Amino acid sequence: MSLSELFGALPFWDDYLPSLVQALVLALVPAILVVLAVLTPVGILGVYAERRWSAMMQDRLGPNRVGLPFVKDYTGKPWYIRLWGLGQGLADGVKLLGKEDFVPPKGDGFLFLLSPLIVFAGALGLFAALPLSDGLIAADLNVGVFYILAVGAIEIVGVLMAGWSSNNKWSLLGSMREVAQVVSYEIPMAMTALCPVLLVGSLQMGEIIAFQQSGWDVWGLGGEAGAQWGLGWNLWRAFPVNVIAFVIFYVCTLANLKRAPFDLPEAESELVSGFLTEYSGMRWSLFFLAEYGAMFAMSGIAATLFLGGWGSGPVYGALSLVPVETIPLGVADLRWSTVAGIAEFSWKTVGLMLLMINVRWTLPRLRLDQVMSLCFKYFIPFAMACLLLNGLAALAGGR
Amino acid sequence: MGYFGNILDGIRTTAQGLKLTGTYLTRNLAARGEATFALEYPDERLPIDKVTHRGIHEFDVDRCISCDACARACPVDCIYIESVGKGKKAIMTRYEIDYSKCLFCSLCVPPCPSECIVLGEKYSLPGHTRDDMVVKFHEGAYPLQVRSEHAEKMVKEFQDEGLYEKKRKEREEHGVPTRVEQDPAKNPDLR
Repeated sequence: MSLSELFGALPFWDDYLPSLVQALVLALVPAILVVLAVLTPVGILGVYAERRWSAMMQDRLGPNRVGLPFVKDYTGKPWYIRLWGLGQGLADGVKLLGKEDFVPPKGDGFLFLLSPLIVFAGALGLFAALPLSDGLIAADLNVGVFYILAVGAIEIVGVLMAGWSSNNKWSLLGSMREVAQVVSYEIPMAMTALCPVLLVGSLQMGEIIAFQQSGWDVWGLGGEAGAQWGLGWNLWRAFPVNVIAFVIFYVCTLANLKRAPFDLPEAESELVSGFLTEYSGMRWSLFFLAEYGAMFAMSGIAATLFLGGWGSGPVYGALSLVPVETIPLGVADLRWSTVAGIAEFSWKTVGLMLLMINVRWTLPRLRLDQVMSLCFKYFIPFAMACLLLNGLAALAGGR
Repeated sequence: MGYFGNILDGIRTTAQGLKLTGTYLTRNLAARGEATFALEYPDERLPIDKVTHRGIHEFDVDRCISCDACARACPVDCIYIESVGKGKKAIMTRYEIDYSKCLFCSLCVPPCPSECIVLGEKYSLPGHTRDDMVVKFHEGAYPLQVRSEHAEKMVKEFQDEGLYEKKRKEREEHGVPTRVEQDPAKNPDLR
């Protein structure tokens, strides 16, 4: 049952509401649902995972204490449920809410207030074309990959606005670095994103997944059996070309998300905290929510393009053996493939996110010239070669 | 190093780094955090070196004879003593140490004729005001626990003569009751 049918059942829907309002509601409700159900938990859990995971890598414990507080006992010791420190994100949120909402008096106030919204909108827009599972995609656009690349680049507008409107040289330097970095890395990223598109012959996310689900092919060898178990991943096609393409795409994702070792725009040892210097409180946390949301979305897109998305992999293969077709849920039936798809999508996306965290806490920050030479001297030639070889593979495969 | 050498070097060093952090990560995850160096502070504490550590004083308010020797020895004048009467009959009405001034030099300890003041093990005295830094020892805060052999003997004699109860009662009559809990089960400072 789609959302428009659900709202159409309301008695006043068609009679009183103009079609513009209907369209707005139909667009805003899924967006709000995504923010509440996906982005906020991803942000809170992402911060928690980052802190705990990095702590474990550095022989520390990380936040393991913050839980649900209760009254103090007679010795004055507070009594609480620790919950492995999962309350840390909420505690941080409350702290950020209580901070002063500072706007630099000599800066450009309007742009300063607008830029976190643009950055956040860029991250939120990624979720529109992110296939979470069978049928769980807000809009399966026929230009899905193109849309992702386009919307992902909106973020730099907000970042440049943040740097300019802060009237602070650190901020401006940080945002200039970000723009230089992101614009450069868009090129190899788009090229490697086109590799699976060449093989599939479509920009649509649903078709990319269906293609990887339906069969496998490594330089002429191939078949249909085992495609659902992960053999059909684009990663294995034209081996090892797409493995290289995947690595390049993933590293470009890191650079576009300004994650370490590409965190020059923030570079706390040189630029205080780059374009975030003048931001505090909820505006600052909007930037961070956007970062973790984009991390999740880009991991999911990397998983969809190269690792079969929700439709192919060991977990999906194992779960599809279960002889269940649908789970009746009153309003609508839940397809079993949706459940299996969520499980398959989750482990891949979370795994890629954790790898991002691992990389961040392992590698030191690159110099700006190293970032640029990595992109222009190494990634772009290799991405071009990958694109070319994939074209040959697609030709050989009869496409 | 040529172009392809650079690439191989980059891959090798990245893999090396990820392997190193991965080893620590897997080890600590497998041990569920037990293998880390972290000490969960209020619950776990490092043992204190009792020979060299100089913390908040421990003071035996009942055996103090208000001779003022410690206050005179104090280089920063952070000990405040007031009493009624003289010699062993003196009744302590005020014995306060201002820890915002105290420099834990331990010069107050040797002059004490009755060995009723030493520097103890406690190191934490959080507070919100300057007044919170002034500890009221005449109300029984931080009673003497670490004792020398000689002091142990003096304490025993004092106890046998039943003077502890007497002194406590006298102070109460002068309006200086022992307010701080002296039972170690109820006072975490005594544990």
